[in-house]
Amino acid sequence: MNSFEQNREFELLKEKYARHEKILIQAYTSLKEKERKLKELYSELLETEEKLRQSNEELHSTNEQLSSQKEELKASLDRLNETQLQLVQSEKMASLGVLAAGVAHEINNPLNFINGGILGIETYFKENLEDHISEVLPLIEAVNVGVKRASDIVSSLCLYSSNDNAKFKSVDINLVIENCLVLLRSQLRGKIEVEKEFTDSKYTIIGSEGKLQHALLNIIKNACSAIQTEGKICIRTFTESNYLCIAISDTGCGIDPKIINKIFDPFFTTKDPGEGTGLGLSITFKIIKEHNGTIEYESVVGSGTNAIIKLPILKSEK
Amino acid sequence: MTRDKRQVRDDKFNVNIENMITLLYVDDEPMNVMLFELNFKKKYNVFTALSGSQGLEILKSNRSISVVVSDMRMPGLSGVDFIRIAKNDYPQIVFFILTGFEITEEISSALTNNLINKYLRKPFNFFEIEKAINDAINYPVK
Repeated sequence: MNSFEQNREFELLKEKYARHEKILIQAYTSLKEKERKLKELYSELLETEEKLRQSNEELHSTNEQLSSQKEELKASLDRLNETQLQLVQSEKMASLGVLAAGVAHEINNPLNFINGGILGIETYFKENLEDHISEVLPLIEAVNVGVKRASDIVSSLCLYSSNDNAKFKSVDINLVIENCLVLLRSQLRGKIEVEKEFTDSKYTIIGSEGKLQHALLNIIKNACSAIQTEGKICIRTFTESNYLCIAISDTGCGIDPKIINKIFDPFFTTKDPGEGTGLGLSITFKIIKEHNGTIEYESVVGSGTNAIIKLPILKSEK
Repeated sequence: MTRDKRQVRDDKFNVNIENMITLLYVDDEPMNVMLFELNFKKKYNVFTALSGSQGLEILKSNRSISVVVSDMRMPGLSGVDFIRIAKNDYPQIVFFILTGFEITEEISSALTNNLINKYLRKPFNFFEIEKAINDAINYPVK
């Protein structure tokens, strides 16, 4: 090969090289561009991932919020249902109150006639027909018992005409409970063990001591009646938020779930006729309401009953 | 005029049977009035009235009355108002009020102000009334 041809080949090689270089540079540029784009996409991906993670977190927290709101709503609904029940009961009491006051007043006079009349008859017998008096005495006794029983019911009913303003003042709940236990001494003795647990917390209850005693007496009396041969009554006081709670439990026969909603109804009783008026718990309910408190019962047949009374505590200035 | 305890008295006469306490019973219900009189006439010299104003009339013309028992709810002058007026005019008389209800604010303050000696429940317990009257006369509160 001569030098001309060598040069020619060299030029050709140079051109080929230049072309290749150009291609390589293009390829390299292209790759670099792709790399850049890839990096961009990767960056976007990271961003999106971050956003997704944030959204997820938000959703999670909203979910938790919703869940807790649901809990609150459920609790509100329960409270509302409870309030409604108590309100319905109060309504019953209110309309009974109006009726009762009228009835009580009207019945007292006729009772008086019977009473006065029978006394006159008894006196007449004693003075004129002394030999026959033994035959009529049981009959006279029957009339007297009838008048007394009717008169007791009228007395109880009078508590429903709530226009009596017994003065409200500070009440010693422990003393009230002790008084009740003293009054029920004969029913408790030898048969029922009483356990008391009074709270050490300081609190002030404003109310009528007499009425609260009446209210608690009815509850404890029922507890005694529920215990047939022997058993136990626990009376516990404790404070809870702004309320004083009085828990009275017994190991008695319990209350049938079918009737437990009726225990506060006036004249409702599971005792034999003549043993009770059926007014005890309805009076208790009324008195507790007058004191802005609540009362609830829970029971297991054959096991026992718990009564829980809550009375608002006077908010003291600190 | 004999001192027969079952003698029927004419309210227009001031019959004052010795050693018997004279009392006035006031009630707007005629049957209550009749029963009270019938059951108590052997023990006390009983005057009766069907209203507070009638009661005041009787008190004016019978100064021997030492005890007054009055129903609480009456049309016209109420029991407490009647007693308030009567007590003012005749402070030496012992007053009792009859009520079918629990003690009201009115009765409670009348008791503390010594306006009435005691409150008596309806239906009456005659022995309780008798005891209250006898106690009040024999052990006067001053």
